[in-house]
Amino acid sequence: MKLNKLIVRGLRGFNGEQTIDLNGDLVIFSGSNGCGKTSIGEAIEWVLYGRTLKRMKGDEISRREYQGSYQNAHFGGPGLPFVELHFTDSTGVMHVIRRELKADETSVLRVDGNIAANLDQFKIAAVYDRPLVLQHTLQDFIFMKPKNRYEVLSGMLGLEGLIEFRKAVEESKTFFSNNLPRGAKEAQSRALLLVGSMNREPILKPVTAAIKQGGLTEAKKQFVQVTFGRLPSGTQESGILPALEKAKTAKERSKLDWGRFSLSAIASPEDHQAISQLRGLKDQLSAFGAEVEMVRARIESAEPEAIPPARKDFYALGIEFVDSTHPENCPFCGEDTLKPERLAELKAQIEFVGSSSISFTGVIGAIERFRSMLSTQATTISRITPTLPSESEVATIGELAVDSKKGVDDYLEAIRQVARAAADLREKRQRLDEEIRVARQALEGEKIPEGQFPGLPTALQEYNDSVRSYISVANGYAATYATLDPVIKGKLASEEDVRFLDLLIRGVKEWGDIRIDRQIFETLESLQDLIRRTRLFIETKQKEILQQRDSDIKAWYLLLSGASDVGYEQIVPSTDNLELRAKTFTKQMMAAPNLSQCQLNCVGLAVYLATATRPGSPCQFVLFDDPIQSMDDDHTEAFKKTVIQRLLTSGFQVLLLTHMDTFAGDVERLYRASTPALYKMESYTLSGPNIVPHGPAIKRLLAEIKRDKDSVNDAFRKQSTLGLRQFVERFVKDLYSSETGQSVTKRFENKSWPELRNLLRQCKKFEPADEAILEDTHEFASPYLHTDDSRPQTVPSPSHLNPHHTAMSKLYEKYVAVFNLT
Amino acid sequence: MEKTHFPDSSDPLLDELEKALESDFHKSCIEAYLAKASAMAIAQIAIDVLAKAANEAK
Repeated sequence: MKLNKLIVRGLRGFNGEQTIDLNGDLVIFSGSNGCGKTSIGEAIEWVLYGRTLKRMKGDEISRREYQGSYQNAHFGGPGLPFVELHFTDSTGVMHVIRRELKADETSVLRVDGNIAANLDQFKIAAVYDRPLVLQHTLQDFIFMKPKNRYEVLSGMLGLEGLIEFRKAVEESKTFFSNNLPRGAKEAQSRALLLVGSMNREPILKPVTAAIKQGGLTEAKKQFVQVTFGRLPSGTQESGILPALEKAKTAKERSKLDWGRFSLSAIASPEDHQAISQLRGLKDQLSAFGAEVEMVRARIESAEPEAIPPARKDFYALGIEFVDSTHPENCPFCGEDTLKPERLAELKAQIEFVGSSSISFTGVIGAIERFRSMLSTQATTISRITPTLPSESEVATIGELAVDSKKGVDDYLEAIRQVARAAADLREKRQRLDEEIRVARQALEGEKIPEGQFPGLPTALQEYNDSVRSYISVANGYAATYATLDPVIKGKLASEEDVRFLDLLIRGVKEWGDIRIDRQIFETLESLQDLIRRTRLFIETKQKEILQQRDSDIKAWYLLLSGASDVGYEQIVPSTDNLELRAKTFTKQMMAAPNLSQCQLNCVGLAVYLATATRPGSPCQFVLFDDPIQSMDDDHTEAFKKTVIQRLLTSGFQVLLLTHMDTFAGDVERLYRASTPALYKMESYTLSGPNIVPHGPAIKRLLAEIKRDKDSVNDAFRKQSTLGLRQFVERFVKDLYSSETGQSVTKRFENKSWPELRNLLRQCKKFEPADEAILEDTHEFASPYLHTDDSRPQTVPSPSHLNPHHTAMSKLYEKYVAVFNLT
Repeated sequence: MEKTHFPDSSDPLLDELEKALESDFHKSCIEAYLAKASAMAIAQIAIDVLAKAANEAK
């Protein structure tokens, strides 16, 4: 593919439609920064690939910032922005590729007028496999992360398809694990819990180990074996689940908390604390009786009261009715006879005032002590009261001890007896409490009933008898419990038993979940394996390709940089990254941090050149956008002389964009035999770049001298004078280059005549007689190179300038054939 | 999931990779990728495999 013509409208720097002639083996665009050179490169890149690397990188940084940047900011139609590329394919057939930019930044592609999905027919597809050496890509390659560099270079090596496939598998793996069908996700969660529970059971550990190793058949075999161990012999595998359910139900029934009903036997009533407390109660009651008798004796020996009780009550009632507003009026007769003295007398009379004070404190204390002891004793009895089973628990006990009928009958009878004895005990206790309450109330009224509380000893005796009976019954209960205990315990199931059976049931029911979980795992593993295999394949292919390509890169690098003890050495690839190695004498080191900017520039160029010129490349052209931006003079010379020459002689079309006019002029002059096309991009306008075809520099100089020599303006005439000086220099250098094939470096700019003459004398086609003409003009113009204002030069008049212009024009005409400018 | 690439259905290296793979699943991943040009196509293969296993588990 060689390019013939580019038509652009509305894309990047192009607003209005422009046609750029690309015919020729060497096409050079020269112009200062911002004049639209890069837009030419990007237009070619976009029409071929549908996107640009600059934009792809920009989108990675900020989609918002780069959104809409393909379209020219001023473009307003009509129609869509487009790029049309006219080219000749390798068989000599001409084609037209046209790509139109849509509003959503996708594009419509046409090949020879027909809609096309891609450019496969021209083998243009890979993002990185391109003949475009652009400013940003050159630097990006050098300074990008090793991982990114790996991908870019792999793409350049033709491995992009494989890399994209690997990325797609990686993406699909993430997507798969994040978007499992709901049923599978739920099965996975259940399986996780189930296997976790199994793993906590030592007997099931071989099962979980087999699951983890992926041996589901072996795991199932182990699981079934464990399960059969918990089921009656003869159970069939098809009946495993019902059998497990049945076993679990049986076990759940036998989850009786038998120990809750236990009661230790009371060895001897005489030794039991409760009994001793009963005896203590009797002692306390005797002490209480003695106290009561003592109080009664005191009461009987006291003086009789002066006032009959009926009157006493009458006085008390009257005092109660005394009106506080008329305290001296008798409440019954209304007379004012109730003087304070009389009121005090009446109050004294209604109060008990015996001849000696009788205290009830002792007797009340005695009954309190009795009551306290009774309470303590009740607590003791409660401790030897068994918890009795409920009706359903009694039924379970009956089921469990079905083989020990007498034991069960005795136990159930003991339960009934305990219940009856406990009820009797409660009743007797309530009666005793009531007697104590009555006695207490009487004593608080300082009254002792006839017979000294006769109900109290009787109630205590009955209570004592009930307690004795209860203890006996409780002992009986303990004995029957002890008899039944081994029978029941032999049948009881633990929580663990039931839980384990439940786990086995879950295992049978949810085995499918384990299979699904395993399948998810295996699918992910398989995707990972595919990624690994693709990586290995890429690595193998990369090594194969690099063996050849790295030597190409090295060859291009040596063309640019020459052999040296310090410089780029080789590419070292691995699975995921790629390192550029340099060497310093015998020691290898990383290239990016250790090579100079110029050397790195050369490495980048070498990589892209090796890619663009690889065997089988569909493009027979290479586009450079400011390729020498970081190069010194020597490397720039090497690029001009060797790289471009190698490309041209290998049959490649070279498109060169540069901001350096001198560089453009030098290249144009060096390869004049290849009829280069030189375009000057002088300014940038609203409609886009201003691209003007430009002749050789020497011819332009002559035209400029002619334009300014007759001007009335001193500044223009001075410029014309300097133009003469530049013409002489250019004439000598161009003649030298044309004859020897060697370019002349900047070292020869603004140099003295002897140095130029030295070059001139190496040109065999130059006639010695003409040397004086050039020297004369050189000497005439040289003083105007000075900018020292202390030595002002009189600006030559047109009459001074005209002879020199005429002489130089004649020389140009005489030697134009030597310059290949005809 | 976005389409992230421009696969070349005639990529000889992908063909070579496919031949080098032994697993039917892997081969079908490449075929799906080349046919539909997206990672989603591969994910769908994986999901189909899982669905088949889930049916068998029932």
